Amino acid sequence: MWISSVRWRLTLWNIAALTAVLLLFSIGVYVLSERLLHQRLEGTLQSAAQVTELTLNHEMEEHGGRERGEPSIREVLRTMHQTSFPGTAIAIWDENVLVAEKPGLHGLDAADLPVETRQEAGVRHFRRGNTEYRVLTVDADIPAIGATFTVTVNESTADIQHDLANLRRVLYLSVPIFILLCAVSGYVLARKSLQPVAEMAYAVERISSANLDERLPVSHRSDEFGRLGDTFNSLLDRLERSFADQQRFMADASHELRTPLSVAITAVQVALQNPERNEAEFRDALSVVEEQLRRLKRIVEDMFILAQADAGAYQPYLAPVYLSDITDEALRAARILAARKNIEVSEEKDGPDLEFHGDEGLLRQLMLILLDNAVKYTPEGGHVGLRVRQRTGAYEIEVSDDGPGISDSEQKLIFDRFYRTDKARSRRNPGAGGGAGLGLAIARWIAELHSGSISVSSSPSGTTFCVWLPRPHTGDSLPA
Amino acid sequence: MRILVVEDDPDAGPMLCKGLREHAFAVDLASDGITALHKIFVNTYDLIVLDLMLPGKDGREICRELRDSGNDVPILMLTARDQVPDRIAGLNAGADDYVIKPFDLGELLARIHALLRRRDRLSGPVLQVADLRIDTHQRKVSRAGKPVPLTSKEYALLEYLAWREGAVVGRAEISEHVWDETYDPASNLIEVYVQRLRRKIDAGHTVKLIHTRRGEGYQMIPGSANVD
Repeated sequence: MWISSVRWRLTLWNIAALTAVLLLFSIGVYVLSERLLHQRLEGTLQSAAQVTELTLNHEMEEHGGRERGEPSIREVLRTMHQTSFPGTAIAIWDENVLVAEKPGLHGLDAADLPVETRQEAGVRHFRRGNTEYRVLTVDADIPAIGATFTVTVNESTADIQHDLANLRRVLYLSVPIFILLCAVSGYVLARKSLQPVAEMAYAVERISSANLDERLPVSHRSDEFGRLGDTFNSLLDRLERSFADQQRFMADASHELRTPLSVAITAVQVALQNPERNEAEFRDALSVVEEQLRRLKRIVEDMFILAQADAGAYQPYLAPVYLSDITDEALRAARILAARKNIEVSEEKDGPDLEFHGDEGLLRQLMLILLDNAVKYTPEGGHVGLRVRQRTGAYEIEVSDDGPGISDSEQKLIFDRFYRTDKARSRRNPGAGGGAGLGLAIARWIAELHSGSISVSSSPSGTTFCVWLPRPHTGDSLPA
Repeated sequence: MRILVVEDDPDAGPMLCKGLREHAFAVDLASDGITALHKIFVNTYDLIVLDLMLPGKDGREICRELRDSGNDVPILMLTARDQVPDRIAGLNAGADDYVIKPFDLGELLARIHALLRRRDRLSGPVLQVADLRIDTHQRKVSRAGKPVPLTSKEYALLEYLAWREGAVVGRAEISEHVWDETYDPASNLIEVYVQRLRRKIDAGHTVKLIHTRRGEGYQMIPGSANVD
């Protein structure tokens, strides 16, 4: 729905806020104008009354005589007519008797005034027909003759009503125009400022696994949208990297799986192509197939472990174990392999009961991977050594061989998945299991799962892998 | 036809050699790049089956070195990498064809035959000399419509002679292309096989096909008389 677009919502909020402000402002202006106009009218009435009172006082002092037709009253009348209050009607009363009167353009004649208006001083208003009038009644004490006159001044509020009607018309017309203008400009502004978001959405929509190298357009790096775009782009960077890793892993994995499959298929097809094979030939072919199936099984198992490790799905079973039991067991297995190549395997350890807290199965696998590798790369008649040392708060396990060593550049890569120092050498010894180059990657994962680490040092006369396993409880550290 | 298989896997190499030998190819095996180049410079191969991933020198490097040195022997690349860029790189290095592991042995053989045919500018898989017909795909030989059963080695020799129809083929050339590196030059194996072929092909026909050119070698050509 269109209301769900931020652009429209921003515009609506904008209109609502502006309408409220404009309404308050208009009402304020109107009320203030009304009050000012009324005050001005009252001021006029007041001035007229004052002038009349002053004139009356002056003329009485001069002439005396308070009756109609006397010179004093005539003078008063003349002065009243000369005053600058053309709209105001003024009347002077002596005890309810009209003494003098000046009609006003907007005033009511004395005869038409309600009687009560001259009985008490003050401001009143009353209506005649559609017109509202305002009347001010003042008692004028004239000390010269010792009398008190009543002066009434009145004027209609028609002028005020007229002015207010004009003001209303102006407001009725201008407020909607303002709101309309503001709506349009608000919409345009919202659209313009939301334009980067629309562009980003469009760009993001187009990005799939096929074009992960594309990035969002970031026009103003420092504003909110720029930061959003940068955040998105760095997310894309990470996605692209992990996707590339994943793709490389898949390509490597498929390569590793294809090789044994290919050998097995060739073996079977060669065995079957000649109908006159003897049993020995079939046996040979089957043993080749078996060997390749073992290789496949091992690769699949290794990949499964790493997949679990990647997903964080592997639940290590942590329990107290004797490290020496694990190394003894791994040594037995390694010695069987070593015997075929006449390799001597030696062992050195700090005491028989090296207690540790870890996953026994994984630790055994770690030891087997390292010993397997050592045997694999050691020439016939060579030597493989295992040392388990107790350090402060940790165990240090070293596996060394007399192999040809690993170059410095390759040392960085050997813990990567599917990396092999020499693509073919590892396959030369069928007894060693013919791994897929996943062993050291798994070894590193196992060490890290136990908060430990694995490192390698190598020279042309041999290689040593060192596993550092910190003990979870440091209370029972032995003296060095 | 003599083929060099370059494959480092200790099982795959011998198995593939066995499969090819049973299809009447003379096959040598090299398990790394250096040995392969060495064998290629010493022997003459009609085709090379080359694994891409090799210790020492990989398949692409071998390919490039061969082409740079002017050797145009057909090369069939074997690889477990099936990504398009890998294939492009392999073909650009000078390989003539590309087979992805795991492959079907039948397909591999068909591709080998196709490459050999292309080299010989043959249009089909059948060689014909007079009324002798050799189906190189099915390895079936017939003379005047009658099938002639042959062993692998006999077939390989006949096929080579037929392919070089009209030319005088020396014993050295025959040993190069029909026998593998286990051939003992001091033996009289070639003579023995030529005699056997004569018995199976020429006996009972007035037009003889296999002729001996004394001191030079053998020649396959339709003719009435034998020189020796």
